[in-house]
Formats: sequence, C-alpha cells, structure tokens
Amino acid sequence: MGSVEPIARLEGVWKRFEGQPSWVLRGVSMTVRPGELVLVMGRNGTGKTTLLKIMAGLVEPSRGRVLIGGLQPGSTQARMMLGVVLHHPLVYDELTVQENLSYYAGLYGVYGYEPRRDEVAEALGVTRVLGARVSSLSFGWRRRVDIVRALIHRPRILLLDEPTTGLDDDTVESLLDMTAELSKRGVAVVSTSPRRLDSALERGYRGLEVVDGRLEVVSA
Amino acid sequence: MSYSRIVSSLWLLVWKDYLVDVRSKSVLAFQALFALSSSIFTGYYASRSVEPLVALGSGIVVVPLFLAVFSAYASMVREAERGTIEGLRLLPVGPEVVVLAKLLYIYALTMLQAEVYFLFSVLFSGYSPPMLWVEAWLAMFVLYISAAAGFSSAIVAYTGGRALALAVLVIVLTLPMAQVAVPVLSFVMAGGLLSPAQAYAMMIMPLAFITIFLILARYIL
Repeated sequence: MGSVEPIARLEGVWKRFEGQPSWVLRGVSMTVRPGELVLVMGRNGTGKTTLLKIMAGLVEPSRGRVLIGGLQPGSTQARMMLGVVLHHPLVYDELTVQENLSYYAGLYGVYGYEPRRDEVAEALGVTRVLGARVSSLSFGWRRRVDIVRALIHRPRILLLDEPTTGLDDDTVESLLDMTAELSKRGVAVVSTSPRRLDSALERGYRGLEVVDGRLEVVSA
Repeated sequence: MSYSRIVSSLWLLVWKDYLVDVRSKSVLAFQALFALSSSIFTGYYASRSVEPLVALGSGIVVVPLFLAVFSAYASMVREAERGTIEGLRLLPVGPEVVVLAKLLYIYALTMLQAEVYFLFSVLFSGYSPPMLWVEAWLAMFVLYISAAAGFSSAIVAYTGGRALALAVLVIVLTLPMAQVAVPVLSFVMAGGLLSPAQAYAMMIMPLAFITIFLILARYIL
C-alpha cells in the first residue's frame, strides 16, 4: 500500500475566511491512497467541511497545496476523479429522481445511464423511487439519491460530508458497507462525522480528528 | 472537451432550467402576467398618445429589462439560494459552458416574454411600427440585457449579495447599451434605415459583453 501513489495529497493547508480573525485550518497535511477509507471527525465548526470543500476544489486554501490525482482539484480531469456529497443534496426538487440522475450522468459523460442497472442505486433502494419528484422525498431519501448522483461517473475518490445525517441506522450500515465495497475496488473514501463512528472504524476507516485546525490521528 | 460534448452539456443545462421553471410554475406565470399586463398599459397609452412611437419605444426598452432580471434571478440566484450552485461548480464541463447555458436560457426566456409584450402592445395600440427592424433591434437589445442580467446574477450569487443588488447592477450595466440602442430604436421606429455603423454597434456590444462574461466565468462561478 505504501508504494501506491496517493489519489489525494494535502500539503500544509491553511485556511482563514475573509473577515475572520482565526484560522480554520492550520497546516493540515494528509495523503489518501486509492482504496483507503478515512473518517475525519470533529465537533461542529472545527473545519471538517472546509477541509472537504478544499479537497473538492470548492474553496481555495489560504496557503498550501492540494492535488487530486496529481492535478489541481478545480481542473476538469480532477473533477472527473471526484465524487462529492455535501451537507445539502445537490439534486433539484422539481425534477424526478430519474431526471436528476440522467441530468448528472449526461454532464459527466456517462451515456446510456440506466439507474435500474446501477448497483449503488439498487443497494440504497433508490431504484424504488425513480419516478418520484425529489420535493416529495424526505431528507434521508434525498441524501440517498445524492450519494447515487455522486457515484454516477465512478469517481476514484468519494468525499462525503456528514453522510449519516438524516439516515436511519440500517441505511447508515448499508452506506458503510457500500463504502467498504467501493474501497475494495480502489475507490478512496473521505468522510466527515461530528461524532465518533465506531461502526466505520470497525470497517477499516482511518480515524482522524480536527482539533484546533490540525489533524490528529485517532486510529490508524 | 469535444464540440459534441459541449453541445450536449449546454442542452442538458438548459433543459434542466426549463423543467425546473415549468414545474415550479410561479416564475413563468409571474413573467407572463407581467408581460401581458405591461402590454395592455403600453398599448392603451400609445393608442391615446400624440406620440405613440415614444410610448411604444420606452416600453420596449424598460419592460424587457425587468423580464431579464426575473429570468436571471430564476436561473442563477435560485441555484445559489438552494445550494445547487456547488453542483454546477463541481461539473467537469468548465464554468464557461455553465455560464453560456445560463445565458442561453435567460436569453430564450426573456426574448419569448419580450415578444409577447411587444406584439400585444402593438396590437393594443393599433399602431404598426416597422416590425422587421424593431424585431432585429429587440433581438440584439435583449441579448445584451440577458448577458448583463446573467453576469449580475453570477456576481450576486458569488458574493452572496441581496437580490436588490441584481436589479441595480443590471440597470447600471445596461446604461452603455441604452445610450447606443435608444437613439437607434427611435430612428428605426420613425421608418429610418439603419446605417452599417449603427447595425455594427448594436451587434458588437452584446457580443463584447458575452465575451467578457465568458472570460470572467472561471472567477465568478
């Protein structure tokens, strides 16, 4: 594993938002290798989401460098390697689940996408609600649809921002099983959580915690 | 990215905005109501005015401006309010394609409603301006204000500004075009033929603005 090139590399990342006196992140360095499972824990407001957004190329670091597959995260090629699930689902309320997935599939260049043949959609039960408008779904279901969306183009690294929010225990277990399965196929998963997720650590997640803007190892 | 990929991405982005608007109904219904009711006012005023050209001309400048603001709000600011703009930022198609798709949609929607307004106001006024020339003028003017509205809404979305800033920005950005377009409109409505210089100015201004918008897309989306 040690010789494998990292899929994500953060080198001395610092972040302070404009007008804010304190640093959110203070020199965070991290490498994520293909197939690795990483859980970033920390209380609300500690900078977990900022870290994830910096990796996704949605937020610019104040200092330091981020590389996804050796590329800048904002580049087109890097975006194809990234699957991102944010705290709010990136699906459209007025569209049906099927329409949302077809829309994103087309934009990611996945032609002929058929949700019924998508094993992630099947595993999360999303195939049962394909015809439903997203506005009629609960937050938990929207979250599931959003996870399917993020994986539609078979990314090499999946970033999940507090993915368990709004999900029942069974779905959380399914989600963790699914990420463990993705890991076996070489997909790296970086997930955040506001609390210690023992069920994730049991599945082989490397536990990190954001404390005072720095990453501390909880479990290797 | 290949040409066919760009075209299919543009189509998907426009199609999505269209579906969202059609299904949320309120935006389109409000715009249609605004265009129709404005046309009744303009038509009535023009039919009784001693200067129907001025009445029709002022309406055709002001009403599409408001329609462009509504369309831009629906297309771009709504994405920011709902958080789906981050989905657009993550797409592997590049910000220029996203911005161009937004612009096309704003233009199509504004042009459609501006046509409704213009044709009905002419119908209600009973006055017939030189339609072909005014239509050509309208197509260029709406293209410019659509670009101005799209650019302004992107700025508002980027800075997290209030929707009021959108209207103010659009009006300020439209002033340079208005200074060229309003005299041209008066001239055309009075039955004059456009000079090559006037036609060139009417075409170059929207295209220049669109080019600037696309260059800046990377920084504001």
